[in-house]
Amino acid sequence: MTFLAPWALWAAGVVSAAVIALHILASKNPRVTPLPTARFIPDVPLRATARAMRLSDVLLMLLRVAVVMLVGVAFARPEMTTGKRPVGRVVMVDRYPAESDRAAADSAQKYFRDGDLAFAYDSAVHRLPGKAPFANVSAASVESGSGGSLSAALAGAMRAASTLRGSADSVEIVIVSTFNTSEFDAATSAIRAVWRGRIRVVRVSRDSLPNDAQVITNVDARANRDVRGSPPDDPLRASIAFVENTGGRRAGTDSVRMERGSLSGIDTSWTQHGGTLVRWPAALDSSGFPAHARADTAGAVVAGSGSSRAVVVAPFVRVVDPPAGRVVARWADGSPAATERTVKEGCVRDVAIPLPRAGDLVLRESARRLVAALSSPCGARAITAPATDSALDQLRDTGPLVATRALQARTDSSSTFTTWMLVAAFVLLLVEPLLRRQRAAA
Amino acid sequence: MPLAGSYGALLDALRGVTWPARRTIRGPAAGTHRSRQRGISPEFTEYRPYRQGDDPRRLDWKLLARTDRAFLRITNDRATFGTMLMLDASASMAFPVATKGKWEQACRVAIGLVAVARGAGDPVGVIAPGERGIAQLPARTRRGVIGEAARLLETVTPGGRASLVPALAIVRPTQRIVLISDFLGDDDALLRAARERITAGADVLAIHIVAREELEPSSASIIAVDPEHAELKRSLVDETRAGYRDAFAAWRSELARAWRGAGAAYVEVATDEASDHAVRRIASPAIASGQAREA
Repeated sequence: MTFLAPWALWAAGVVSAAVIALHILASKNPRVTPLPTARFIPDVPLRATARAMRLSDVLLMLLRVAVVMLVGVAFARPEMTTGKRPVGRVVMVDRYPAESDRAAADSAQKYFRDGDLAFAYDSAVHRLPGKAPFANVSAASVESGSGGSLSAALAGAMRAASTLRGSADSVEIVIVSTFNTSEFDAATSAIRAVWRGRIRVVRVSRDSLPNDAQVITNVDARANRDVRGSPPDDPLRASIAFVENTGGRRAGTDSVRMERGSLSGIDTSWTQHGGTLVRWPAALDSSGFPAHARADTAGAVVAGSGSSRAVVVAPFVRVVDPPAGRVVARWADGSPAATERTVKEGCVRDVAIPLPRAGDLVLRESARRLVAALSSPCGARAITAPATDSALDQLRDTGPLVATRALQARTDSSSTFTTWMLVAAFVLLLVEPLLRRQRAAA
Repeated sequence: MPLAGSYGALLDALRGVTWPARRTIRGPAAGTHRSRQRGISPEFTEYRPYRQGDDPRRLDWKLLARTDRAFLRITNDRATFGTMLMLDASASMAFPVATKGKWEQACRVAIGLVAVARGAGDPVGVIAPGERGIAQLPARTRRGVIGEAARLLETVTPGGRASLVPALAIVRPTQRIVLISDFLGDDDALLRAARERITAGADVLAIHIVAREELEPSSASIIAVDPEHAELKRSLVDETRAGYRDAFAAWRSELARAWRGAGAAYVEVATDEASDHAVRRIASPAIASGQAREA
């Protein structure tokens, strides 16, 4: 039997010692006893207590100690020890290199054993099932070419680690990634500090990554935008007008074509020759985009990164999802709101964000930034620096692995022992006043 | 509370014990106690010249024939002595609480005295004023009076603050009155009433029942509360224990002196004393003659 919270046992021991000490040392009230000749006792002020240096009421003391210890054992969360593996692993692989470089997936697979947990992460964490989970890491939702979020990976790994409590004594988190600086954010170190154990950091080479990773890294407010297939009162036109009024319009041909209606062959040809086509249907439900699993409302949408990040908080009604591709905008719950795919020299960007025709949402600064980000030309290749060795050392840390018994259970699954201990303590608590009364009457 | 049947050993132990009156009595019926009357018993005492009006049947005819003088044959009469035992059934007699030792000892002594008095042919009765009124067995000489007294005492539960004083008023003053009490109630009033009875001719015997726990309280510190006066609470601790013993002893000594000074006999009986031994001590000639001063 092991105890998941041994401090409770120590606390119970201290309290029990205090109880015993009280029975030995504490003053006690003298008994009130009838005595017909009480009148002959000298009339001095009544003394309420008398010190008893000997052990008094042994049975009562044992009962009280038993109650305290039972409660302590219950709160110590006892569990029967079964045959556990020494070490269970939570293997996290950065989705971008894993889908691009076989070596990254193989590295992750090398650390994976039966019973371990496998995850791929970008800005969110996705469970990879099966015995060879890294053999087929989907590239469908890779957000950026600069790697995922280590904060999300750490949070997901810690959360998953508690599920290994029943099968392993210790947990090791393995993270396979290129570890770019963009993967670290302000919360990474704080989340890392929560995990009081070392982490195995496996860095894969960045040289083998493809060069076609495109991302909205530079929002070009002065790009020439041509909005087509929409009436003059289209809210997108109004927002584009604001963008162009603010940033100005570069002279020359249009570099971004925004299609609000259906595509034509001209659009395709234009895209293949290096143009950026933003397909943002005005009527999303008849756009041909895959329908959302269940129409609902998302509270916010995020696009861009870094200083060009745009966040719009509004009750967006989701009826469709964008087609598969690199995710360039996400809803608040992490699901894609806009994707992008390369077509020869140009790219096509599909946006599944409904724009309300009423209200001034599209005229707000946040919406203007969103429109500017999504209507920018297909960006240059993401350029991020690799994380420094000191940053990786901080992430790796030293020390032992984390014992699974120290991990909080994900669900409130108090053991049977705990229940029975508390029941026994409750029964003894019921007996205690009876015994105390009997002792007082004796 | 002992049952009537449980007195068997006590009654066996008291067989043959006599309990003489402390002085000559004026009894109506022939008994074992010395009577003030000169009568016709066979026990010769003296001759007295015949006077006019004397009963001629009491003339000593043989002496008249020999001396030609008329003398009456004078003898001492023997009479019965009515005895009434009065038991204090106040709350202080139910001590110790667990055993009610004082009340039990009082009952055993009372039953023993009933048996001794009954053995001498004296009419004997019992009175026990309690919370629910006065339990009374009038003085009787019949054989079953011991059982009746025992059953009467079974019905009495000590409690409350019942006094012996009202009951004392209904007792005939010519009787022997035995007060069995701890005298922790209205002892002054009881002493005054007893003095009146003594003056009226009663023979009063005060039996003071004292619990061993009162004489030698345990060494544990307690808050003692008077069972008859709940507001009276005193702390019996090491510092007050000696003072308590001294005060209690002084009070008992003063109590004995007061009762004896009033003309009553006083006997102190502890709860751990054998009941038959206590009865023998009470009925002893020393007590009867008033010579005993200490138990």
